[in-house]
Amino acid sequence: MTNMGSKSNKTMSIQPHVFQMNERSILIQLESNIDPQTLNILLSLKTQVQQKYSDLILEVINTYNSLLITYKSTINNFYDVKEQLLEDCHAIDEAFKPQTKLIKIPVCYDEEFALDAEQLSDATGLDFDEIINRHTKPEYRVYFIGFLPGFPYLGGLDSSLYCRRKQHPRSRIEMGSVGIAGNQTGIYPSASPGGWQIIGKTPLKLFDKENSTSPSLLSPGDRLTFESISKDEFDYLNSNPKDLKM
Amino acid sequence: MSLKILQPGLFSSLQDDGRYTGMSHGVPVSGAMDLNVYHFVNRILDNLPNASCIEFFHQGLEIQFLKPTFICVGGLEINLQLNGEPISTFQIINIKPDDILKIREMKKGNWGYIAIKNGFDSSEFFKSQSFYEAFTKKRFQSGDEYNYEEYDGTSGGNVPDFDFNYYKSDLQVFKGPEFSKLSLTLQYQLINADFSLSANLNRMAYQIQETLENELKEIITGPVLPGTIQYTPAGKMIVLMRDAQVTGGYPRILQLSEKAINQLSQFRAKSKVHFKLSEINSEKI
Repeated sequence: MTNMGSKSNKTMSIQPHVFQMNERSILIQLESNIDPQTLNILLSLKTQVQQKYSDLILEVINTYNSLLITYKSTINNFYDVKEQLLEDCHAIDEAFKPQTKLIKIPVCYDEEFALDAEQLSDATGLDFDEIINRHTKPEYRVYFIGFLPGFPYLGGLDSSLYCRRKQHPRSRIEMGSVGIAGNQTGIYPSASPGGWQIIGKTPLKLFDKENSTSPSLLSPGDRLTFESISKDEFDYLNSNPKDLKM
Repeated sequence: MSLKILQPGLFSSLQDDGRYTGMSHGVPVSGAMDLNVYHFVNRILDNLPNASCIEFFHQGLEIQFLKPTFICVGGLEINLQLNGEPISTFQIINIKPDDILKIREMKKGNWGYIAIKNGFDSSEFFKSQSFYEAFTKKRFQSGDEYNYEEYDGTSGGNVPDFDFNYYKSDLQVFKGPEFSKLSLTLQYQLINADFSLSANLNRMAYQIQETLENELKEIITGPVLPGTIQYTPAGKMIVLMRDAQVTGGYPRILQLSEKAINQLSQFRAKSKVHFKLSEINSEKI
């Protein structure tokens, strides 16, 4: 990793900062907002770093604007590593589009599951059928998985559905619950306390502990749509999980 | 089955080095809260460095061994009994079938470790046996049984005495990504003032009792690690520990060194906490 090479003169639309977090982790943070192009750049950089330094690296994760690289051992030559990583950043093809899969998430918006239908209607001024319409219309993007194992941070929520978190979080939100908080929509992969406004429930398993190599159904970069299903369909799929098709 | 949990104690679990490779699935790193004691007891038994151990919190754990083996118990100051007789920590103990080990009292520290020859044989997730609720049990319960290999030979490496001074030195911290966004006054306070630990301590996080003036807004959710110190809108400092989630939206003002995580894990509620800032090669963000 001491190969300094010549610095690329290519200018990036986003400025990378390389920061050592602890003895064996480096954070690369881009000066940018939450947007699909930043995600593409990060995913491209992530793939490159994973392949190029596979012998040295334990794990690379991305968030909206950052990569965290955890090395197998202590970083003794930070400035060399940083130089190299900056070069990698500048070599990124900003037009790169990662290969992604499209996943359909069946959601039952029945009143039994839409615990906060009323609050959301009050906050948005829309009746609940229209809320379902606008929630099932967009193609969302999975930015990363965090908070809980398998929990996707999604981008693409219709701005007319933005809604504040609940003032008093629930002590338990059921597995599969679909909710809205601020400008985000998400799905609880397991039961957890939480303050999201709950509008439905999916029978789909987002985190499969039996799948020990790839337990999270969703990966960063994936595209996702919500499909409204009836209570009967929910009950059927819930008791026949093998019939779930994505 | 070869090990039986008679009394589960508090927050007892199997732990090892933890797992980094599940982070992209939102899986926490986990692993022993105090990796220093954990590695040392394995070393005494000449185990692989990442052999799984029992981790226990304070007193109360009582276990029965059903197969012969060797064990070693480690912690800062613990009263232990084997079949009702007192035994020492950091010693190799020969176990016969039906022996009962009891943690009578933990006088110092929070977490103790029981290493067993060649580790336990429990289900792995991302190559780690460390408990985490999403895919293993949360903690031991009465009547649980766990497997280990019968071992009849001799055991033990030649190791120096355990260094208790390890826990007396200052807590080394590095600047977190948002440190430089704090006012100079607050930066000064952080690294010069004494704080105290709240009673809110668990495997996910330890909270600092005092609050600071609230200066920073939440950040765009970003990566965090065990040892990251978050600063909440209410001015609370939360030190993330081994089972912390992998991303967070609070400013990351400090980062504990790997040694400091081990040290802090053994601090009890109301302990004085003083951070000693070290330069790690960093760039302002």
